[in-house]
This record gives sequence, C-alpha cells and structure tokens, in this order.
Amino acid sequence: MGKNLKVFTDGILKNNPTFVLVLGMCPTLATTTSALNGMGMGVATLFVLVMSNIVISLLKSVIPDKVRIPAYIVVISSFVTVVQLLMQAYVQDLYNTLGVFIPLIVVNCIILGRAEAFASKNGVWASALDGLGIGLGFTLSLTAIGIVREVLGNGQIFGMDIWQGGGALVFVLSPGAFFVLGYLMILFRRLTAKTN
Amino acid sequence: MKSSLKNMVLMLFVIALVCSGAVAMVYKVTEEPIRQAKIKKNQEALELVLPAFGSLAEAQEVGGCVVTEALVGQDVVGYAVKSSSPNGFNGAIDLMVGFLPDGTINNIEVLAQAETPGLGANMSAKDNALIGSFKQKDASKLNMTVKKDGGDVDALTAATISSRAYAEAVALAYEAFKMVSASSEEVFNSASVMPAHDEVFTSEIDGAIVHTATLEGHAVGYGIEASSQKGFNGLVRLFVVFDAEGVIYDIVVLEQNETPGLGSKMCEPDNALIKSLKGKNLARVKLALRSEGGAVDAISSATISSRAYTEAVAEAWQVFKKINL
Repeated sequence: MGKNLKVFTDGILKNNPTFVLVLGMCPTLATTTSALNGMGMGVATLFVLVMSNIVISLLKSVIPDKVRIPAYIVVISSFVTVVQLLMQAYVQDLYNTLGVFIPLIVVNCIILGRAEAFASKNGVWASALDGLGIGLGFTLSLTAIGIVREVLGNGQIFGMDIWQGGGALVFVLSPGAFFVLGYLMILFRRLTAKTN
Repeated sequence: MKSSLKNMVLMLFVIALVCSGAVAMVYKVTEEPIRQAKIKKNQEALELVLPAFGSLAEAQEVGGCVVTEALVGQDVVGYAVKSSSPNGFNGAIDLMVGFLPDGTINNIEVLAQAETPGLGANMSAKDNALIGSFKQKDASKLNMTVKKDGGDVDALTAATISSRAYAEAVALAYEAFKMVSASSEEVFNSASVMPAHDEVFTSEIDGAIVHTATLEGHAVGYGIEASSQKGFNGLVRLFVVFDAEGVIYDIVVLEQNETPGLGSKMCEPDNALIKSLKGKNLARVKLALRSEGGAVDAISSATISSRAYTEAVAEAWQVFKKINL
C-alpha cells in the first residue's frame, strides 16, 4: 500500500506532468485562459488517463508487442470520444469553449506516455493510481495556471470579480501563458526541492 | 504475446471492434441528452431575444440562417434569427438575434463562441458594448460594422476581431429577417400601388393575373403579375403597374431569392432598376440592360438578377399590349 501511495503522490509532485515532466504543453498553454477552462481540460484528461491506464494494464499480456502503440491509441481515442460525447450532453458550454482541444487529448503525450511507461508494465490497481496521480497533477497545474492568468489578466477568479476594472490583458493572451508557466515552474521546483 | 502476423491482426481487430462497440453504446446513451441540451439552449435563447409570444412557427432556413417566427394568435410579433460568422478570433460565433416586425432589434443572445476570456468572450456578458449598440435600435438605420471600420457598432475593448465577427453575424441575421418579413407581406394590397381610382377588379388574361383600376368607369391603371425563372437563385416575381397609356407607374417585387446585398437590392425603393423604368413608356424604350444595348440600368454586380427583373417586366408588357389591343 505504501508503494501504491507513493505512485499516487509521485504523479502530483515528483512526476508532475506539467512542471516536472513538461508534457502536454499544447493544451496547457492554450486552454488555461481561465481557471474553469483549465480545470475542465484537466478533469477531461484525468478521466481519459485513468480509464486508458486501467484498460491497457488489463490488456498488456494479450497485446502483441509490435502493434502495442496502435492498440493503445485505439483505446485512448475511444475514451476521448466518450468524454467528448458526455461533455456535449452535460456541460455543453465548457465543451464549446474547449473546442478542438477535447479531441486533441488523443495525442496528448502524457496519456500515451503513461500507457507506455507505466500501465504496460504494472498491475491494474497501480496503473489506476498512477493515472489518478498524474491526472490530478495535470488538473491542479492547469487550474493553478488558469487561476493566475485569470486573476492577473481579468481580475476574476472562477468567473467572479475580485476587483473591478480587469487587469493586464497580456496574461490572458498567448504570451501570458508562457510567462505564467515559466514562473510557476520555478516556484514549483523551489518548493519541491526543499521538501526533498 | 508473440508478435506473429495472426496475433497482431486478430488482436487489433478485436480491440477496434470492442472499442467501437463501446463508443457506439455511449453515443446511443448520450444522443438524447445532447439533443435535449441543444433544444433547451435554443429555447432559452428564443425566450430571451423575442418579445412575449404565444406560440412559435416552424423554423425555416433562409439565406444560411434559421428563422423562427413568434406568434400571438395569428399575428407575427417577432422573428428570431440564428446566424453565424466563421470569423471569430477562435472560430465560429453563433448568435440568436431577435427582431420586432418593424425591424427593431429586440435582443441578441450568443449561442456559441470560443473567444478569449476577458476579451472577446465578453460578448456573452450582460450589457456589453456590442449588445448596447444593437439592442432596441432600428436595424435599417444601423451601419453594422465596428466604428473602427466606419460603422455604428461599439467594439469590445481590445477585441476588434471578435466584435467584427459579431457585427457580421448580426448583419447576416438582418438580411435573413428582411427576406422573411418581405415574403410574409406577400398578400399585399395592390390598390396601394395603383394610380388614383375608385375600384379595382382582378381578372386573368392569358394565364396572367391582372388587377385593373378604374375611375368613373374608365380604366386608369393595370397591375400585372409577371415572373422570370432566370434570377440568380431562381424565381423573381413582380407586380408591374402601368397607367392606361402604357407608362410604368410602379413596380413591386413580390418574390425573390437573390443574393442579399446584391440582387436583393431590387426590393429597395429607388434602386437602379426601378429608377430607369418608372415613368417610361415601354412602347418607346428598349427593354434590355444598358450593357446589352437597352435602357435599363442594372444593379451593380447583379447583372443576372437585373436581367431576370427586366425579363419579368417585358412579360408584363406583353400582357399589357394584349389588354390594350
């Protein structure tokens, strides 16, 4: 159990996909214009990650080695389609805002990366926890970036006004994504370096 | 598992089969909620943009927009037009624009947009600059481009591209509104466009419907319905009014489906076509476009529409000649 717990916390801290592994940068930079968008993207990815990790871990012994990547992609893209349909049905506004980045979860390298590096070598329980940990790490990172960008750029947090009159628009635009990501990365590494 | 050809093909086949089956199942389950969510959103938008209404007419597609008429009893009290512009900052912007029958914009609701939060996305906010420049304004008196481009629309701060797309979608909706509201006035009062008279009767001459206006027993005017199939988008149907001598008194477009902003200008008062025909005696004028040696000025960039219009006038003239034989 102690080992499994470590798998879970590693995903959030030591192997944080955004700030440490620096994977999945495209959705990270593009969808974090507000805290809610970042979180929505994170949760959608989390779901796909956990489900695909579980299924791939279950199938690892029956998938021939030479066709494992196509097999993983089929599994992953099915879950992405499922997420897409569910979001369309129950959270249509968020679905409209995230737009093309939902189908693009298929090619998010975090997911294929975890399938290849972890789920294909470990048991179901550990793989699920790994997916949960990495997914939570991704969600928290994206939400953090989204919060900072929304507060500095708009004077809002989760759509609620903190102060009137907006903020420095550059933080909502593309360059702001890079600034915020860079500074949060420094901060994150400072904090985790101390605890280690 | 060993990577033999048989294994590889078989496993990929099985995985693909199971996955597509699972996706199909989820699709079946979510199909209805997705449809409901869309209908609900549509319904909410309709209620927001329209004045109080009793029932809704069947939605119809006009000029790339979806138009729904709001009714109280039999009277149309408003039109909701769903339009879209592909030119947003992050793709398409879908709007629902509500018009009153007189052309006033009642309200606008953003159905879908993916603009930048805090900038273009403010188009969905309450009382933003964009909605302020449209709401409760007479659409016919608005130049629907942003102020930067010389129009009347206040753009959102630092979101000119989004604002332009928004204005474009509203303008498109207005074109569709004009087409629908024009065709619903089809049962027009022919007497209003005839010369002064005390009686109008309708007859059929060689398959054409002729309204004859009489004053103290003498015919003072003939209104003849004539059409041409050769418009840019098919039928152009006119009501051509001649006085007793064969001088064109007035021409009313009853039906047309021409390109908004080009051929559709034939419906506007004092357009080039009507200007060059009104008051002319067709016995002395060559009925053809000026570019083809005639005396009719075409609407610029709408030669095909203008030719169809001229053709319909010529048809009416043939009927008139038969009446006066």
